[in-house]
Amino acid sequence: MPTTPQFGITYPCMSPVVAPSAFAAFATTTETALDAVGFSVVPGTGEAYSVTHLPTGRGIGTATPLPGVEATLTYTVVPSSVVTGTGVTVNVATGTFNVLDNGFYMASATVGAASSTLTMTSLRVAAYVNGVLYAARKARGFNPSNTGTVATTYDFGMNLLNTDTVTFRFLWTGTGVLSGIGSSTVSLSLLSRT
Amino acid sequence: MTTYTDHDLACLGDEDYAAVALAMQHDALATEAALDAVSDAFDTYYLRPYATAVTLATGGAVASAGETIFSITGWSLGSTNMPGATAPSIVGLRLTMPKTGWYSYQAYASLVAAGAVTAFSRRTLYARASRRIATNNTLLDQVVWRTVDTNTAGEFLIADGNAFFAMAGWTIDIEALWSHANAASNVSVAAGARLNCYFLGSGVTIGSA
Repeated sequence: MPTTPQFGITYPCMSPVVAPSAFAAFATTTETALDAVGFSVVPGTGEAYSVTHLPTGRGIGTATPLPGVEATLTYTVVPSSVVTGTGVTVNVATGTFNVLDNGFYMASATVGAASSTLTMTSLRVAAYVNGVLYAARKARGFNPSNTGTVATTYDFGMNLLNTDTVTFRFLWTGTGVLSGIGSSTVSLSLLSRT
Repeated sequence: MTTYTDHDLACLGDEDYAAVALAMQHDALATEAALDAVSDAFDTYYLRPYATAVTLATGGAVASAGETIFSITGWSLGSTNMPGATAPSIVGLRLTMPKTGWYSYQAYASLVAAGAVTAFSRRTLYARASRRIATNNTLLDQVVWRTVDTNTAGEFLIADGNAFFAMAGWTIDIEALWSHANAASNVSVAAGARLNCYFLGSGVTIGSA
């Protein structure tokens, strides 16, 4: 049976009798075409889902890093509903975002650090691609020791390739004990395919 | 055979009984045409224009000179899908905008003191977008990010631009500048400074003209 040129929808040849299999093939190939454009309910498939959901991974870290030691943010909770399968996947244990599509991504990471009693001279959030620093934002901490929180945000567009890995890392300097990262949220969203 | 619905699907009457195959062919092609239009609209949406540039070498160390503003130079074009995008070494990004609409831009730089650091002296990064006509630039938007040096191995600054509007065909320059107030030693821009410019949208809904 012939098929349409773009999406391969099958239809029968001219004939006084049309077999049931022709109707089945027509229905099946129409459904496949709909899936390709993304009208199915299966997440992570099709163009519609990719465009409307802009593939993203997001996580929340709970690391408590030492001063002067850069720590990779890892994620204890990554709800599957905020991770789609077409642009980015996330390994929560290693904090690694795995890029699946060549493109320009917007990366965002905010880290808030709480103090008990310490002197924090600076804090930095950085994005690494394949283990190499891509960009970072550094801010002054609080000095002298204080009780409270301080946060810094990294948000920067990154051009990434299929199979690149991205990690977000936190580095603070100073003395004392950091009671823990109160919150950190990160996201890596595809803005444009190359 | 008559057709109905917005997508021109077949509606067989008694007289069309022998034309079932023809009706199915008609419906297959009409379905494909509708899906093609939607697919093209999505392609337009997620293949949005963007351009990047990066410096491959560390810039020369300069004195503060009263927080003189210096241009970041030594740019090379990075990944882009904008036809004709260039990265003149002394400019940054020089783009011929492919679409009319709203764009945004960013700059990143790491500033490193060559020697001693004047405690908590200012480090400033500027990013700006301007429209170039002939050899003249008209400023469209400029942003500033300022921090202080904490004497902990350099400072890392990101300046996020505001959205600016550009017509298709305009020449737009995206530049980064910087200054410092480190009296104790000269400061340089480390290799790996970056510029981004990317399309936000035209305000047109997906699927409409």
